[in-house]
Amino acid sequence: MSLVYLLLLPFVGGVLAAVIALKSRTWAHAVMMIAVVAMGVIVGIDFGVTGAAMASASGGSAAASGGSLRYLLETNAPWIPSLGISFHLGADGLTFVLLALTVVLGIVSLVASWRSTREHEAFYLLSIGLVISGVTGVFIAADLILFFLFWELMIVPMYFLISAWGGKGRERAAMKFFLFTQASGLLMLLSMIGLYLAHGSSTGTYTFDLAALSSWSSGAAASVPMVLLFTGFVIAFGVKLAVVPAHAWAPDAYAEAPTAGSILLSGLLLKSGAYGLLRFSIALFPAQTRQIAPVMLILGVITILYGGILAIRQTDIKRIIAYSSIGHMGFIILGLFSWTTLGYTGAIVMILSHGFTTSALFFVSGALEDRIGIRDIDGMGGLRKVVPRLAGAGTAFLVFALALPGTGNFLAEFLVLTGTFQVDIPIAVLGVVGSILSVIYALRAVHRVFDGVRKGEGKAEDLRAHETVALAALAVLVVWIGVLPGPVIKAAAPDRAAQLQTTVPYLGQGGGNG
Amino acid sequence: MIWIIPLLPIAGFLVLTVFGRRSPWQFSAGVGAGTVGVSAVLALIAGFTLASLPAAERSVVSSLGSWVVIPGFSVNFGLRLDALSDLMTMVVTVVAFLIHLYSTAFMRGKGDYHRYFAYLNLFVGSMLLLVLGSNLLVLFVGWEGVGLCSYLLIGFWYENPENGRAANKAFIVTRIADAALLVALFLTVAAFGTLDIPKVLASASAAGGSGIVTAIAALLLVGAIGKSAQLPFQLWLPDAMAGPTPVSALIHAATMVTAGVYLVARMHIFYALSPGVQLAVAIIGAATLLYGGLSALTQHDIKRILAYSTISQIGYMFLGLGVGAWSAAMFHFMNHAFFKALLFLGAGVVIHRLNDEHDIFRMGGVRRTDRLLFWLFMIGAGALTGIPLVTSGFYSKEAILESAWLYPHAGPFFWVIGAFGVFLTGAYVFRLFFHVFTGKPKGEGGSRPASAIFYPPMILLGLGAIFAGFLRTPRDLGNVKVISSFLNPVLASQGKESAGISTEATLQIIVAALSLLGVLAAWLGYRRSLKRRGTEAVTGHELSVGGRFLLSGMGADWLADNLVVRPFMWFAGLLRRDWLALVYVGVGRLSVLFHQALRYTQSGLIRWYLLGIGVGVLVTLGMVVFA
Repeated sequence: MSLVYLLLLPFVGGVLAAVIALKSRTWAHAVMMIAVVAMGVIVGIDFGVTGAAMASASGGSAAASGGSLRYLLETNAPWIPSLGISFHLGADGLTFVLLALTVVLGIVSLVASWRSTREHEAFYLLSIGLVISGVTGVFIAADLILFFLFWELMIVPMYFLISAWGGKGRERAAMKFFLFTQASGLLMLLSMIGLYLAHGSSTGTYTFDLAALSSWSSGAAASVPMVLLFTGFVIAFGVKLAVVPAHAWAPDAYAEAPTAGSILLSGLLLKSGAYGLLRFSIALFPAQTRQIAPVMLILGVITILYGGILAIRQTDIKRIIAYSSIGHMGFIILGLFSWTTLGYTGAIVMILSHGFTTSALFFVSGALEDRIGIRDIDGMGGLRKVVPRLAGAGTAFLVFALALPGTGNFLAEFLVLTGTFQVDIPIAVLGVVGSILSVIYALRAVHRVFDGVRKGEGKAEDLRAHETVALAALAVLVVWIGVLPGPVIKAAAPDRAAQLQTTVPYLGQGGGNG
Repeated sequence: MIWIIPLLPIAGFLVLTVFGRRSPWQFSAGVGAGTVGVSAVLALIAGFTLASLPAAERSVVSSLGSWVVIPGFSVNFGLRLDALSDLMTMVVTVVAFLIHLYSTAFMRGKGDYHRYFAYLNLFVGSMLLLVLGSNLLVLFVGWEGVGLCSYLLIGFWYENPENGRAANKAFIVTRIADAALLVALFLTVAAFGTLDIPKVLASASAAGGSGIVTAIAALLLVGAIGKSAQLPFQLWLPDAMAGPTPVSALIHAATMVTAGVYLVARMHIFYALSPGVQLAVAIIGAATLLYGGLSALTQHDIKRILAYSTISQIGYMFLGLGVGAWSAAMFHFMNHAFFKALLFLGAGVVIHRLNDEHDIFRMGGVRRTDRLLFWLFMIGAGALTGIPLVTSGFYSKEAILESAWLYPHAGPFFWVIGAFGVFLTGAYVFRLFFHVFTGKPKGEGGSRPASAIFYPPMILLGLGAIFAGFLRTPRDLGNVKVISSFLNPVLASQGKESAGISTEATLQIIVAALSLLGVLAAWLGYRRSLKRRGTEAVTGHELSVGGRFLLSGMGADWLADNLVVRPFMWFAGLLRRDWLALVYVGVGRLSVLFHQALRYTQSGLIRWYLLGIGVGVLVTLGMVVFA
């Protein structure tokens, strides 16, 4: 039942906050924050309890008969039996890691929205609540149609967030975002239905349940229809993850979205693409995924390099962060498709670390925009003198983003590239080149924005207490993941992840003499 | 408990970051210098304890727990104190402490005091992680950490955008080299399954001279020469002088730039097994020592002279590594740390006294204002040159050149280069010395008072510059082997028989003579320039074409700018517009086109619609009839 609460809390919180917002802005924000924090508490308790139980039970009973998945928590109720759709939610270690990320970023996005005023505050809070709810649903859905429902639930309110409260080019950016993700999502829906029909005609049971479908399809003979179905999923997730060349919607969306929108977009929505690849593509079509891996590795490294190079000459600070973000997604792709435990672990660490780093960067850029009114780095300069704490935070997170050892970003990149190196040396070397590019754009941004002498006039106030706390917490999280990744690695280990364990033999060796 | 040594300065960094801004300057000074001081004491205690242990037991490993554990790969937070890392730790902490003390006076009124000490502490902590790391990943954390602090400190005076540019240059150039280092780490994991240094070294020995060992050696070398500013990655160091002088002393002379030397020394087995790469080390060292020496001859910025000097002296260390004289190279590192730090701190006093004047042609007669500094600087300059018998530089260069002569691949050739370098060294550093300290004061005068705190650190460094040399003397001069026997368990030197005593003595005399000749040449050159220019200040325009070429570091910056930076930025600028995204714009335009075309069907003219209905009915009937 608690999984349902996780879905309901942000949604109900959003509705309540929307109602209260008509009267009092502060209370509305408070209510929303309480809802998200409560969600976090539940996640923490659940994971603590079930994780302990998991750990004490023998981890060796991986002799899962077809279809039995090792969820830590599960909720299953029939919904539309005639169509084989069930209300099936499931959470394993990986899910909890992602839910933790969701809660943290939800809180950060609310802190970022705290002070700036906007029109239609009620609708704004409702949209945020729906986005968080949708993302949560995506992470815990274990039924294909349910997954698709939450997928859509993520997209629509985000469209409104961008188009109603965004920057100058918001209409276009929102439309692009919506069209890209919706079109690819519909392809995914087609594939889902196709899979449903194929499974049904082959086994006689018509169901959309992930467990049943994956145990059937992973064993099914490879054939052209299977490849087509697989393609539908991959395209949807690839577009969501902003893999080059399907990335075109992302820079605009990031740049024009309001700060909270950018945080949720970069930190969560894109990760749902990675999650989808992991949970659905790999689990449902392991053989095809294996086949396509070399292509994906190439696309991954192209994404890293393309994102890096494009970030270098941008003048809009949010676009720099956007392309940087796209580059980091490339590492996730490399990690997942290197098919090594090293790479997979690196991808998970990157999901978390990049989420923290990029949301902090958007937080900083949002704070800058609030205070100076521009996003153009050519118009900035000398801000270290004017807003030293903000400058310190900006420098720190840009330095984290360029993968300073000790941070999660570095650990992730290192693990990913070490794993990829064992599979494809040239690609790993190109990946390292990508890390050189990140130094160039990050230092350029720091130099243009913070060094030198102030061009404009006007005072700007430094970070307030709550902003400092939020950024400090994010910094601690980034370093914590870099230095003590143990809990995260154990929680998300492939042999623990429900589907992966039964269908995907991730290479156990990180290389070496074995 | 070894972990306290690096963690204490890092804790200092955290404390200063959080509390420094609002605390009085004494707090920053106390925390900053205090943490490093305690670490220095601990390092010295550890050092003497270690030295008293028998050779076989001369190492201590300490682990703070595991870092990453996944099937097939694990790495922990391990530190390893053995002779090599202990030598470096002692030198780093002691020199860092002295420089921190100096800075407490130097940095007053020169910027964000607490930020300076925070960064400097973080630097010391990172450097200690680097040298103490028991696996390559911890080493790499320290490696990048010192690079970050170098960047932060070069750009410390951020209001001048030039400083930021210099900082970016340093970080980017070293990061390019570090890419090779990362690939070396990947290769190590792929080949040996671990990053633990003792295990890697053992596996390498077992693997013998295979291609992988050679590849790793070569890649590590690229990383090392980037951090150590050797050819062709040297161009960031002269510009790095934009940072505060104590920073130049600590980071860009005594410690960070020697990290490459440490790396090669630590992984020396790889080089011993790859003679080709080792030869490359020697060649790079020799070429760089010449390059640095020649370029330093024409510089007129006091710090740039010292910067090129550092590049050159590290070239000596690489030469030592290349010819297999591991402990000699480390010996030179230790001495260089003392006398180069002394020289930089001395230069800092000069700059401070003369109100931030950097041009030696605008200086002069400092001997009259500051007798003590005159003597201290002379000690430093003498040690740098290697004045025979009384300076440490003599003994450490001697140790390197001795082994160079015996090197099987063109040893004498390298010896000649090294000996010529001694001449150059004497020439450039005493050129500096004479212009700054002798003669009449040139500038508008007005001397800023120097704090008394400047001097004790320099005096201690001066003592080191003289006496540290006696820790290893050649066979004909006492045959003291304290350093080499201390380092022996870690760095057993590549065995070679030594040349006879008489050959050694002859070579020593030649080198000693060259050093004195260099000083003489500097004196003569100084007198000549005085005659030519009188007492007016001189700028670089007076140089010949050759001189200008050397002044620019042999065109290194021009080359890098035009061969690498401009083309790359042009290329990045081309891609500024997201060309791949234009495809989708095309799709959008196409849809709009269709829309426009189809609009015409909504013409509002009834006869068109009737026509459409008619045609549709005919087509449908046709399909029904003929299908």
